[in-house]
Amino acid sequence: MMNKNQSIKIENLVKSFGKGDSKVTVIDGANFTLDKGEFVALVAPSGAGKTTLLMMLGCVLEPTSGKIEIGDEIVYDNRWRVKDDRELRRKKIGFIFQAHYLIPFLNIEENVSLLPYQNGESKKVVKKRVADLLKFLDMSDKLHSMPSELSGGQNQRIAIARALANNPSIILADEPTAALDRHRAVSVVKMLKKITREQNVTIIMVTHDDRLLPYCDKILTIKDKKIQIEENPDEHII
Amino acid sequence: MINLAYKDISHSLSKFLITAISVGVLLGIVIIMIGVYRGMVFDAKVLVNDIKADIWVVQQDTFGPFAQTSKVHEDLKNQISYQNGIKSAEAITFQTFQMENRYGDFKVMLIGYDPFGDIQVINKSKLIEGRVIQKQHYEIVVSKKTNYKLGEYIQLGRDKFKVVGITKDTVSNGGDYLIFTSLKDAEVLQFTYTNERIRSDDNRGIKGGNPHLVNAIIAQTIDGYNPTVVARNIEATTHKKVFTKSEELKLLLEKVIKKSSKQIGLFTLILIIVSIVIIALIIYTMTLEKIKEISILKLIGISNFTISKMIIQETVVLGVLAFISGNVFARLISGGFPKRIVLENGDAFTLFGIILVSSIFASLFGIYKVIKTDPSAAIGG
Repeated sequence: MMNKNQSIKIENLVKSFGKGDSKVTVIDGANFTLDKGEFVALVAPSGAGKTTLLMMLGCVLEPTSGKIEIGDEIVYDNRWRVKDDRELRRKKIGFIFQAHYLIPFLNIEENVSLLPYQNGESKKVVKKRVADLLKFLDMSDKLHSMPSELSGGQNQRIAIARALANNPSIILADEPTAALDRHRAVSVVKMLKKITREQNVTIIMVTHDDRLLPYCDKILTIKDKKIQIEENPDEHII
Repeated sequence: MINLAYKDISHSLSKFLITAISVGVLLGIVIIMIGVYRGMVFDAKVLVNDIKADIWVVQQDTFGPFAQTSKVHEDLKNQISYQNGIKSAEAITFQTFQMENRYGDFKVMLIGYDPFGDIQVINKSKLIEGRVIQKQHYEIVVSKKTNYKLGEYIQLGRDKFKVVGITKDTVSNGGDYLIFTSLKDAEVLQFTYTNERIRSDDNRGIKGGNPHLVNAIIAQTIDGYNPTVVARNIEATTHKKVFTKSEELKLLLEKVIKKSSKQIGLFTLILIIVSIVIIALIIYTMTLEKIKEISILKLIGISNFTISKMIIQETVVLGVLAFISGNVFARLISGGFPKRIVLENGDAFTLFGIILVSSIFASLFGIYKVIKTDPSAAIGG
């Protein structure tokens, strides 16, 4: 029975690299379910498989076996079930990375509006959404700036705007605060938290910074190839 | 929708323009090479086209007078002029000279013709100063490129010749400048030796003097007569080789410049292939330079079609800019070449088509690389 509030559901997810003697299993039988609007931290030591998990959830990396559901769509069930992974990402998933990875030859407005335009949305709708997002992120005055003209923190906020521009149901954030100072990092995490609350988006955020954990609803940990999920006892209500 | 190609080009406009101009220079060289070939073909035909003759009578069993040496007696023209279908016939000589003046040394072809004859040898539309020869002696018409001025005197052999006319664009099939004198003067120049040579010949019992030999007899046919039929009739009755104008032109192209034109043609082909390879490498490199951005685009969900479109559009813009700059470059430098360069728009557009199709084909390597790129490579995942 499908939970209507379900955002991501993982069943018996396995990911191995290599074959035979050189086969390495990174994730072995992961099971968890996340609801819409949850802000989840993914915590694990380096090399434990955090990015691998994010890439599988983003349909970038093919799992070895298991099942992935995004919203009400089964995207992987021992083989890819989606016809066009790019379309799925474009319409349902937002990405935020350690670095902003904005397209250097596009200005801020173009970087943010790229995906909605690709989704076939009208110019009027896209312009309004971009304006709203940049206002929300306090970056309205940078509409026509180039990424090279902005600071790291400002670019990271634009990257968040880009991740939100296509109205995704989930955002996969791979250490989005790694390149930021403590003050900026907290500011970005608060912003992400606000987004989950206001836009009902599920965010999975990889982080090594324990000081950011109190802002998360749940904590996913990878330990000995297994994934554990727990409610965050220290969650700050913002 | 955002045009990624336009945005990318705008962002690195100077770099893109420099690349396009560099490719354009390369294309310009190819255009020049094609122009050299065209010029060679054009020059080969100038003289035969300028001389208003329908028939060329030359020494038997030769391909004269351009592809092979030909000597016939001057009075053969009388015999030819009485042939059925012939309106008029004149004798003509061709002789190459190395000349020198204060502007430098250069090679010329001296054409001797009867200034009072019925067949026009100097193309009057190419006479830009002065007049044609109107005396039997000591007048000369020169090509502008010899730098002689009207009224100037030129020493040729034992005599001085007054420049009475200047022509432009008059060259031999080898690209040498043309100069014209009367037939009588041309024969003297060809057959009068030095005093020492004359004395030596006398002592040996060799009779000197003008043997009245010319290189060819040119003739015009009466309207309504087929030059080919007339030529075959003359050949049958005079034991001479006879060519029609079109046969003479064909001889020039097939015998005289065939190897040179093949050489240039092959060289041009190699240049085109090299250009295509270089353009392909440039496009491939341009794609690789953006591979990180392309990986990001793929990762966030931009389709292969959109990314491939960007690469192809950039290739087309590069091709168009290179085509324009190549043509400008070719036209700027073509005047500085010693021999004629003929730049034809048709050649330029054909080359553009070849380069464009090849470039788009070459960009498929870049597109293949894009399709194969792992999107997670962008973040080192």
